[in-house]
Amino acid sequence: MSILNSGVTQQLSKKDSKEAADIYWTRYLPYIVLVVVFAAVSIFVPYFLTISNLLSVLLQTASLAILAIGQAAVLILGGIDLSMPGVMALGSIFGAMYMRAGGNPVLGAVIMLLVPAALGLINGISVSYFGMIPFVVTLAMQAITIGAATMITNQISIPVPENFCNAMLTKIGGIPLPIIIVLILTLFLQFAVTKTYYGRWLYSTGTNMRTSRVSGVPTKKVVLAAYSFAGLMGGLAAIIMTSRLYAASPQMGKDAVAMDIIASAAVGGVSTMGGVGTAVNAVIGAIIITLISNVMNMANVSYYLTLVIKGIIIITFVAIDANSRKKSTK
Amino acid sequence: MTIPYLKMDGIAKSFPGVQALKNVTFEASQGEILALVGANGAGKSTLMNVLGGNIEPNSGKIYINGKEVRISSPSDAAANGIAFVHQEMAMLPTMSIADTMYISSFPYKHGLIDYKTIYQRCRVVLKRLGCNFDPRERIRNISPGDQQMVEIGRALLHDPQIIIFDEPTSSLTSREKDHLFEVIRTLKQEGSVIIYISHFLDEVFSLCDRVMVLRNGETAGGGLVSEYTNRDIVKMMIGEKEIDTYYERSEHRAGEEIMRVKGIYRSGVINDISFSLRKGEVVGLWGQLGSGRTEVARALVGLDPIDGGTISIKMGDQMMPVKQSETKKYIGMITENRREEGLLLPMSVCNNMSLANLTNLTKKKPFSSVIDSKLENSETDKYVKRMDIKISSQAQRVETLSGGNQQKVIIGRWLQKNPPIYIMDEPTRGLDVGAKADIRRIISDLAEQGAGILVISSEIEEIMSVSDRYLVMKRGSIVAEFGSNASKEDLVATATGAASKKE
Amino acid sequence: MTKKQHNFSLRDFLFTYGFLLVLLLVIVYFSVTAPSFFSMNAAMSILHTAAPLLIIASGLAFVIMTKRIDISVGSIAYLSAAIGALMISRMGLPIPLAVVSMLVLSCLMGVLNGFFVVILNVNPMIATFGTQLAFRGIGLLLTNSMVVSLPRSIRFLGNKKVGPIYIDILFSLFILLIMMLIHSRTQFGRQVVAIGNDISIAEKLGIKEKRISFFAYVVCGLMAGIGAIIMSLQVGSVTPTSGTSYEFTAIAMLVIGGVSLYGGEGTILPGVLIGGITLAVIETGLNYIGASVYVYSFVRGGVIFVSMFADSLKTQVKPKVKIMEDEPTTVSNAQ
Repeated sequence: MSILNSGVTQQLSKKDSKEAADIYWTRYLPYIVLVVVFAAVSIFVPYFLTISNLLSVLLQTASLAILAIGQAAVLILGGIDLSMPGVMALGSIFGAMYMRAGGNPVLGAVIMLLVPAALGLINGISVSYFGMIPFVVTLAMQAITIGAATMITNQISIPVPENFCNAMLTKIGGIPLPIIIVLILTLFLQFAVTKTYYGRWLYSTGTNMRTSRVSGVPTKKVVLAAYSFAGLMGGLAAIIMTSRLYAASPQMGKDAVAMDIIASAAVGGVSTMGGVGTAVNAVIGAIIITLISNVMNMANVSYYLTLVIKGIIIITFVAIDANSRKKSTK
Repeated sequence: MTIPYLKMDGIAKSFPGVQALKNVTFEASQGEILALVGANGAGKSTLMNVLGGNIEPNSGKIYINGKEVRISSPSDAAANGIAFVHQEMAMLPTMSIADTMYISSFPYKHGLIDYKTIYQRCRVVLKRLGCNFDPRERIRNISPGDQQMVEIGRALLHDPQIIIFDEPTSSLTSREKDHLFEVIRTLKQEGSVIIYISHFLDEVFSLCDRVMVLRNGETAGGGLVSEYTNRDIVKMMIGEKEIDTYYERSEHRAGEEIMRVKGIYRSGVINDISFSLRKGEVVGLWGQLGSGRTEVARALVGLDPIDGGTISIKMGDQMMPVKQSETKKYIGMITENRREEGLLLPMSVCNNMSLANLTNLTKKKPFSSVIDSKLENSETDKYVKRMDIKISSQAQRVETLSGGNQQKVIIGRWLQKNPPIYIMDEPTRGLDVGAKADIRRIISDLAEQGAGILVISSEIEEIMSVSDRYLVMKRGSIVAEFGSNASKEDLVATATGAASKKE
Repeated sequence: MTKKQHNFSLRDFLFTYGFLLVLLLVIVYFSVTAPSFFSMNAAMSILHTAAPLLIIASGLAFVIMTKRIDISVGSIAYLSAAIGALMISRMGLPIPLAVVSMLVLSCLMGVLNGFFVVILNVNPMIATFGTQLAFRGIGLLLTNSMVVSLPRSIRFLGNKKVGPIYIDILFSLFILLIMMLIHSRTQFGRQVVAIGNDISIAEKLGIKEKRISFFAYVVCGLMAGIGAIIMSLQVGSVTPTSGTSYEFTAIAMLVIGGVSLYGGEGTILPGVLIGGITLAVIETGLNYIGASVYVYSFVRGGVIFVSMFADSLKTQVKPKVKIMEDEPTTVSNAQ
């Protein structure tokens, strides 16, 4: 192999090197899709392009975007986290129960944040230190959390105090708090993954774990951190979702939510083969998926057809990614 | 002699950039064991892969029993009675011996696999090899030596006339090896043509009847084994010409000890490895493929586990024992497979070169986890220039670079980190002459600047051109140590087991 | 020469028969806590519950043995059951025709999965996750997410007994027997295991890896279709939630039964059967001691987690295979 290659790639023309500077053409796909979907929606849906409507779409997107960001961290490592919905639901329920028992809403929010983070930590330990298979670990975690959630609540929603919800939904300069949270979070994470060495470790581990290990990157800790982070994002999404629904419910954790999360990441350009994607990608994906869901909703497409369409979307995007990457690396 | 049973006439094969075989003629007769020897890269494997149907030659003809045959696939080879026992065994650990032998095509009876016949045939074939295995035993429950028998058994299933053994003893214990030799002698007595490829000359002398030596893709000589001495064959392998004069050796001055390895071992892989490395010295770890040299290197940086032993590294004024998982902090490791373990192929030159050094490239205090990209670029630039890496920009993806430049990127990664010790496993493999020379120069420079370097190479000229001292490995142990005045013959002879008189 | 490594044997024994041990412990536990549990009746109802899932798991086993996954089995079962039921009760088609169409359809769904995973190289987890939701979506669309009942004329089959035994138990045992023969006595079955051992070694040995892996998905789809028949007969109808989380239960059955998720390991009989019974015993037992329905999913998740952990330990025991290069090395250029 090595001899064959060294002969071929010896000379680099100007064109090659230009191409070499950017990564893959699929990199631009999410932006194109976003523009096309956005344009289509603005043309066909009346009053879409009003500020209040756009804000409400973004508010709808907030929790999905946060979940997709968490999923992206795991996907970049070539893993997957199917337990995000269940973990989120359980966190939300514990927090709500605490508040129902008269607990302080701030502490309630902290519980919503930390319970999912702890569950994410368990996922991370299982995958990194015990070498268990990510999808089974997280599939089991999804079953356990969803089981616990239904068990605890008997499938009845737990209302949360209004002051908690109102605090979360306050508007600052006319913009609802969750949108601001997503914005700040995205900017911060975009900075973190592109500018800090933690981010560099994440990508290098996802690109080639063996090379990273030889070069002294603490790969196990990186994996552990990514799953814990995914859990933490589940917690943040739990807070926002709960305050939007004014209640905690095991319904938040159903499997179809996982599909939206993975679809967002995949459509946004986070590669399921590892090493590619950022927070911005995840957020763009989440916006695209929310827009598509909204349109299908307005066009009275049945919920079941939306499942089919989203399934097709996921497979299409993952297939494009898998096959374009194969050509460029081999 | 009558006409040979097998004749390969005028075989030539070139790979891009390399003429692997130049007009080689090869003959073998029934009832004899022919040894095919040569240094790494002499063309042995290529020649046998032509015979085995894995490689199509550019020119040349193959005759079996006087008739010309065309062999363009492994199944053609099998149809012509050629069986190939590969060096790396194709074993299926969770499956039975019988399944592993028959996996590509099972005999059927009444619509189901006919295990009765299979077990019977397996027993017969294995008995011929002197083994009494239960064919239902799982592969993972038998030793590597027994697995080798299964591998040979699979080759024998189709009653081949010509059997090629490629380095069959590299994973065997000496008892298993003796057994294998008996088996091969039996096969010879049954009238098969046996071609035996080996790095080990002692094996050639104890087992084979005739020898053929390849050097740089050409026939370097051959004849009855009894007519040669060890030294004769070593000479044929490495050539008469003293090539040392071509490479300029630079003498480095060895300083104080910086690493001491004491008795590290891993059962079945490496035994009792002890040596020390001094500042400013290049130590060549020489040995054949499979001698355990790579395993030692990997064990030293914690990539492979060890069962015991200590590694001490100089810190301040003292030698401190270091945990195996910690040694990576002090050693720059260049692995032999750069695509799998050396590079982040789709990432940029800059990102690849800063990977080991990221924590030192950060901004000041409150932003101590933020990479200072100016510093990163200037550091990268420094080593790109210093090593003369040909790139269009630092953002260029590493996968688009040539092999030599890729290797320099990996070395540059460690230069940036500047560890006191380097381990380089085949640092120039697959590179062109120019890139090889560049990398050798870098090694010399590093030693000059006081680094301690352990170099592994399959090429004798290369290891001789850079090393100040040699450790010779054979079968997982260090069997000899030589100073800078060692000759090529000394090295080749100890590693191949031809030097029985000297220690 | 032929000596075995004895220190490995005890471990091997535990890993091979560990699942039997677990089953025994579970049975003893429930027999003590709920005395009525240890009866013929209970045993029959356990097997009855397990019947459709055993069939589905036996198909999934082939995919898992190639070191891949199919989590769409529950949806394949649902969609083919839904279509079968619609054909019979809405369109009034003859039952044999409906059954054949169900089976053909389930095969086609397997073909689709195989196409995505093996031909298009989509990550198996994500591809079948996509089809899982898509197949269910189509089914819900076709049925308008309503319950489709089966006609009385065939409904009785689901709970018919021959002597003390439900016929669906006999049927699923029969299917398991066939699957065992395919797994252990056909070239296809053996090559599936070889692929799970190591894809590149399998290819080197002349196995047509893509073809075999593709076919494993088709078999998996077909078994989901056959399981769907029993599933819908037992209930007498196809409900919008039929088959949900079947993939999960089937994976749990396989892992408990010793079919490794790392590929290449496990048996249909007794492995899958025992795994299936163990899980059914746990659920029936929970029922007997009066646990809430919601506990099931929780317990099942825990069980799969633990058996998965054991599975990962088991693979760490396996000796590591040395990596050797097989490329022609360069000629030393020394002119």
